[in-house]
Order: sequence, then C-alpha cells, then structure tokens
Amino acid sequence: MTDDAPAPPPEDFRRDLLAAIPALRGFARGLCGNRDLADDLAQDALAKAWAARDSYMPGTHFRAWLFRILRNHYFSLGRRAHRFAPWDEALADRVLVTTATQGSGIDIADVQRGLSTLPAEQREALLLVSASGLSVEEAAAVMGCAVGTVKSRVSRGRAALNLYMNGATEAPPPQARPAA
Amino acid sequence: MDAGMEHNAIRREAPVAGKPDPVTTGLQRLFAAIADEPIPDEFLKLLDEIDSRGKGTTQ
Repeated sequence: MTDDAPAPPPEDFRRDLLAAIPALRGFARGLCGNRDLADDLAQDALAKAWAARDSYMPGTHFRAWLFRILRNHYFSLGRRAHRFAPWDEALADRVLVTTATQGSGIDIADVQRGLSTLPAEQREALLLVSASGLSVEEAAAVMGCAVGTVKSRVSRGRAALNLYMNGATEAPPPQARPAA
Repeated sequence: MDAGMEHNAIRREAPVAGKPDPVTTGLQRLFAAIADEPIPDEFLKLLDEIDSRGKGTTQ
C-alpha cells in the first residue's frame, strides 16, 4: 500500500465497480433485509465511491472500501433505516428453491429471518466476516472498530443466529408475515 | 479484479479449519443467492453515467 499511488484510470475503476455490484447488493440486502432499499443503498454507495475515487488507494481491498462507504451511508440514514425492513418475500421464495435444489439441509430463508432478529452491529459483522469472507482485520477497518470488537460481534451474532435456526420451526411461515 | 474473482470471494469459506458451521454456510448461501441474481438495469445505467463522466474528466 502506498500513500502516493495514483488513482486508477476511470475505465478500470468502472470495471471494478461493476465486478463488485453482486457483493455490494448482498451486503446491503443482508444489512437492511429489503430488496428495494438495499438496491438504493448499493447505488448510492456506487455513486459515492465514484465521487471519492481519488481517495481509494490502488492495491488495497476494493470491496472492503465499498462496504465501508455503504455501511457508513446506511448508518447515516438514521434510526429508521437501522430497523430491519419487513420480510423479503421475493428473496424467500428464491432462496427456498435454491436450498431445495442444493439439498443442504439449511433453510436459507431461516438465516435471513434470523438476521432480522440481530442487532445491526452483529448483523453487519456476520455479513462481512462469515458471509463475504473478509478477515476480521478488514471487517474492523470497514466498521471502524477494534478487531476484538468484531470478533465479539461475530461470536455473539453467530451464537444467536444458530440458536434461532435451531428453534426456527417455531417461527411463523413466510406467508404469514407482512409483505415488504 | 474481475467479476469471477469477486464471485469466488463471496463463496469463500470463512472458518480456517474444520467444517463450516451451519450459520456460516447459511450466510454464504444467502449471499451467493443474491449475488447470482441478474444485475438490475438501474445499476448498469448508473455505471454508464459514471463512464460518461469519467471520459469527460480524462479528456
């Protein structure tokens, strides 16, 4: 990492943004639980990233840099946005089909329902470390906190989600939940 | 960085040793299911705008 590295050419930056869109959408969706809000967040993050492209240091973790922009935007929207959005029925249908075809024995819809029960900080930590594969150091840089804090949030979030998933049979079926 | 590398990164298993726990597996599959969705046109339009602006700044 060099402080005086030149900013990437616009065409390279655009290419990298395009490649990062699926991850950005996944992070946003996991964070807020609603497809439309998540896509708005992801698009805002892309625009902000473009505006701040001179501050990106080539060679550093581009996806983590984008995640930081998105999460800062999400948390800056205030308490209203912190609340997990209503159950995403469209995604539920999709992931349930995916689960059935993969035969994993894990109901991914339960994972998303479980995420909705977690504090935003734990949800964020799980999404960054467990779902998107960032190291705890990278996640700490994204979240702006200590590595130990990330570890603690991941551990607590994982335990709570595991508990939810094991007891998820008591949860109401998706169709009984309010539409998004 | 290309799209394939990004996609593989999404599917990377987080735990260093042993079998991933159900929570990690579930989270990764949730993430992968979203990543597998087609990119909405709005994103591509936004990138086109960015591309236009970029060409404007480099010429």
